[in-house]
Amino acid sequence: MPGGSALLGETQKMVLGTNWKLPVENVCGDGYHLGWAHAGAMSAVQSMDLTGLNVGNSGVDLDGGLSVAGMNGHMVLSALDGVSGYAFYPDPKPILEYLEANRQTVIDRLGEVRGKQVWGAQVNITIFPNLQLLPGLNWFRVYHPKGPGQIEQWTWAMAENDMLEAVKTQILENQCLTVGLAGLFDNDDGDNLAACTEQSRGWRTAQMDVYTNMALGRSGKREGFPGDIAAGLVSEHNQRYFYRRWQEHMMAETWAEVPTYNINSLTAQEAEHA
Amino acid sequence: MLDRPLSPPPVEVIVAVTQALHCEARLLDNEDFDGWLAMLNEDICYRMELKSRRFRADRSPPLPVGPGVIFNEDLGRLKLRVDRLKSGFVWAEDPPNFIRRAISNVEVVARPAENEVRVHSVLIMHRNRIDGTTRVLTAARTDLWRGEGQAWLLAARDIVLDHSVLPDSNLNAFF
Ligand SMILES: [Fe+2]
Repeated sequence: MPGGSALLGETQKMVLGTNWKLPVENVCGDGYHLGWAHAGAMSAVQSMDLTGLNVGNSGVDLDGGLSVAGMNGHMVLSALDGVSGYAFYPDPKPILEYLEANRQTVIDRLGEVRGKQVWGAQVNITIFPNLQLLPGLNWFRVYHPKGPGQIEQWTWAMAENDMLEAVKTQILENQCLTVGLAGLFDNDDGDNLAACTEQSRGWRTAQMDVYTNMALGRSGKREGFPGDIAAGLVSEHNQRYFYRRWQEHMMAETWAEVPTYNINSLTAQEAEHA
Repeated sequence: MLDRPLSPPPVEVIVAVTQALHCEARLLDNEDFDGWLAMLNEDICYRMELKSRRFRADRSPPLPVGPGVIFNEDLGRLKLRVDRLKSGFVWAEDPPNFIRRAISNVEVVARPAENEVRVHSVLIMHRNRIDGTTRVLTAARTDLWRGEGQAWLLAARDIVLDHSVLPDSNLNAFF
């Protein structure tokens, strides 16, 4: 919406015994962990469909979402139904009314696909390397590395400024319930991330490659979008680009050696003309 | 909060309520969630707010829709959390963590209604997870307990967590 977004409430800070890349990977592309890692929370609060993702991932719909990556390490994971961002609200009605009342404004501003299908849907945005935001579940998060195997995770609730105060209050409340310090979803991830970090410290494990081959070779361009795009929320497409970008940074001797690719084609044209 | 007692509550009330606090801690340590839920009044308000930490001279106005919460639960929501814990899908609690609660600084204060008392207490929670991972959390609690027939039931709990950065990966435990 034209009014922009703002963060709500106090900063929610927690220490996690994990390598900083794992929580980024977890949110940038890992749609399939939902039905397993968060099965307990999903069985407790899910009120709407999210591209068929459910406990056990039995009904996944690959046409219902996009994994958009390759934009200099930035990534988007998006459902395309325009409402599923609020699938984990026990009572999504007031927010669905807000979406319906403002849909046309957003379509006029951002076009059909973004206005009708993306706005309001579950959208995970990653700004490389360590900033993530989820319009929909409505949180904004920064991971601060605190030395090997430790991070501080800072989270805020986020709402659009054009929303009524009652809707903002509901968003803050639901963000705290789902991904707050005692969040039903968030309290599943921390321990998994710590366990992954711990296991990877073993001598034998450290000799092995990370396996991120799901849906390899099934991506391409799509009209109206930047980046390299794979279908669906269940894929390791975004994870591959995330690690690739990190590797590019690690291998480069100077900033000039860090490549630029797949950014928004309009911006690229402007750059050529300049 | 400064409570000015009308007059001290009867000693048997103090004993009964203090016993209830200890019993509650033991039930939760043993993951007897149904036993714990049975100690709650049906209109319970169970809250832990996110705390601001500002410079003393900071006069900025309160946040527009409030600070946010860690817990803001009624009985239904507490049951929902218990259902999640019992679902068998909460991997962070499997194998079970070793949790021990110690309750201290108990102050039982009379209220105008005879069957109600305000109770201040301090909770120290020791949690052990995955061999060497041990965390100690402390919190202050201000409760409202209500006498219902033979039992004292918890009607409200306001929890203040003493950590601006939570030193643990979750708050699956009740305070
Ligand atoms: Fe997760």
